Amino acid sequence: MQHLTNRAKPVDRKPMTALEKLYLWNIAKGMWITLKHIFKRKATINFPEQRREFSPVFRGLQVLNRDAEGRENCTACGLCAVACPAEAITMEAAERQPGEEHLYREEKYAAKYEINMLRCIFCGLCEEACPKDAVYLSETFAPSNYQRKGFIYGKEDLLIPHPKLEPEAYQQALGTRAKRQEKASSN
Amino acid sequence: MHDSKSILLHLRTTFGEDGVYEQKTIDQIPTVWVSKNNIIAVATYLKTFYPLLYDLCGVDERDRSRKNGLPSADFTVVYHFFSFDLNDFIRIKVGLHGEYPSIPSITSVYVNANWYEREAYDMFGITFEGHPHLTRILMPLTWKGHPLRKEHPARATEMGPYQLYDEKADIEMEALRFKPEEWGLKEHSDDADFMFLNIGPQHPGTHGVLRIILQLDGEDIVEAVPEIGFHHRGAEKMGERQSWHTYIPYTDRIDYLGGVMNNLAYLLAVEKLAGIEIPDRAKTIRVMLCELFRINSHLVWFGTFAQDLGQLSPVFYMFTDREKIFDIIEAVCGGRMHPNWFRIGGVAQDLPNGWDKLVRDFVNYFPKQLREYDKMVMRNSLFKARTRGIGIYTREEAIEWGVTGAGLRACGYEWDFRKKRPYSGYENFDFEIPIAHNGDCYDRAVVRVEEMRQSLRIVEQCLNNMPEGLYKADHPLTTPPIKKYTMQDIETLITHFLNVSWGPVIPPGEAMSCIEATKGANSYYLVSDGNTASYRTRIRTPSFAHLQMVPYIGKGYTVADLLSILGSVDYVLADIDR
Ligand code: SF4
Ligand code: SF4
Repeated sequence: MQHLTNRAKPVDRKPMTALEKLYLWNIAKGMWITLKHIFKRKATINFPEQRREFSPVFRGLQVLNRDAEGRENCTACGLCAVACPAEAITMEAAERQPGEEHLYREEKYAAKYEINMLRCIFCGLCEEACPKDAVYLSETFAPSNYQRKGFIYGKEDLLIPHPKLEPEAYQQALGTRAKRQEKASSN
Repeated sequence: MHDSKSILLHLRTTFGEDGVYEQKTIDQIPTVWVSKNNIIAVATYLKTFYPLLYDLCGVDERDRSRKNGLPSADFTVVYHFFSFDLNDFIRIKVGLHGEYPSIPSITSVYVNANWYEREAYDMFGITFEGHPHLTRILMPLTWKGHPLRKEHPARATEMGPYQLYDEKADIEMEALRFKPEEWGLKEHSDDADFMFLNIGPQHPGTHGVLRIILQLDGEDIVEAVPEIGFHHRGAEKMGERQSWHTYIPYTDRIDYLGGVMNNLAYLLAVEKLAGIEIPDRAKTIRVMLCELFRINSHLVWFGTFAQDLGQLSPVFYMFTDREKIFDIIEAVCGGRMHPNWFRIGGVAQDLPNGWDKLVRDFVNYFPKQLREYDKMVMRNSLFKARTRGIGIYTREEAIEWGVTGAGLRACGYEWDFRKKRPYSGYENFDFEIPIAHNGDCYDRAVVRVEEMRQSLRIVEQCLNNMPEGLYKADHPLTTPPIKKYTMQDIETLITHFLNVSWGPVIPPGEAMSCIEATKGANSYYLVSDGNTASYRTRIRTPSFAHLQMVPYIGKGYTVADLLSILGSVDYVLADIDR
């Protein structure tokens, strides 16, 4: 066997005494450390009964936004889709018809808007790209699912609840949103 | 006194005016084109002054526009050498002609050229004559084509559906079988039969999908052959496809423990090309986040290293602390391991309200933990017995193999790019470079543990002296432009549209960054031909160089020692394979 003599440098390798070789002291020390930690505060939580809080800027599941009157903000400009590094967003644009002004804020809107959560890396570039404040990332994450198609989120999954029709659900969703805006404006 | 000027002059006089062409680059690294026939002579000459082969890569030049009078070439091989005495790089380029050109190998001069040349062969089909074993290194042996050539598709959807029929599965399996004779390994010596042991690709001790084949004489390692590439995602190819801006999330995933540190290495190169000056506040925010990530990465290393050696508890305690850092990172960036938070020209958002309290709490909390870990791990006699005097290399050997970072500092060389070639405002911070002297596994651990303390010092200084000002530079190429105006005025909205849909157009040129990442020196060498995407993105990662050295330092030790060595080297496979 070739030895490492030409590269060996002096290091402290005193042979261990018989007592040291028993490693008893170290084993006892190790047990003591483990024991001590039993009485410390637990670092884990019982998911899913308990959920941890995310920070206000957490980048989770996308939400499509409405304005105060409940009209959809998105104008289907497609900036989010081109900004998306993972190519997770697809959409189809449609023209707003007379009489639909209460549904869509702009003359053009997204008839179909899909995000593939299996592709999405939650980088937040779509939110940064959007000129209409129409898409933002919220403080939850996509729940697990058994099927691929369960991860394709359409408009019905992404849209924030209607402020007039479902005020409670909207308030709940807005709660985090408002917190977020407050954060943004105070900076 | 030699400097790069006199070295250039010497090259001129030795190889003639025609053989040597000097190129001006934005990053001020002296760049010299030499002819293919002279490369060995040039490398031999340079080795006296530039002992470290820092990086070697190929570039497919065939589609490049705006060459600005550069010598003609179909392919170039680019060598980056580093001199510690001059504290400078030199970039040597060799232009090659033809579809599948060849060039003499410099492995006889710089041993660590071995893997780099294999990579260039794998990626471009450039043959290196005289290379001891020129085979693919990252792609499967059965791969058709060379991925970084411009004609090779970048998307799976351009390649037709993937099918694994039975015969193909057999071929693939056969290709994976290790054939000792191909590596010049004998099945037996005069007095012993060797055993070939396959470790990985699924093995907890390899810290990722790495396969190492060991030639064993009893328990002793005679030779080791690492096989990498299982984690290869073509990050360099994607750099040519994504816009300058949308490539940032990809960098997060190179050294996945380093988080924003990867963003920084990439952006420093982009910002050099774009000529953006970063405001002080943005710089300091960047430094603070980077140092938090350094602590984070070292904690993972520390815990798993102890675990490799049989201590099962520390890793849990350390991950708990790491979670505390992630809380800060999440509050600031919105993401955790892949924060994607630095932007061309600054950072994505300003620091949130109350960030200082979070950081302060951590700065107060962590030193006590470090002391405890010191007792728990570093002073443990079992730990010492497994690491002291194991995996030794000297400073000369380290440089020979391209080792940077803690591995180099553990052999007594005080070299830290943050101090020696400061970037992003590191010159304003007060910290020390910890070193150790024996270059064994234990000393590498000592250095990293002390580095955490130093990082904490830097974080504290950021906390106490966070400058006021902009978090993003006021420059037309800053991406995305500060959004406050986008919603109101049409001018910025148009810029925003262009910037987002095409991405910023970075002026033509070449630049390389160099940072002291968590595991050693990390660089992005970017070539722009004035487009919305990079023409060539080359990522030099420390782990690649470090793993290449493992067979050399592992020889003669036992299998159990090899796991100490692997743990002490601190690599991640994503950083090796890119
Ligand atoms: S979400 Fe925003 S960026 Fe995307 S299409 Fe709608 S308006 Fe445009
Ligand atoms: S978060 Fe990123 S990956 Fe996900 S949809 Fe938005 S831009 Fe695409």
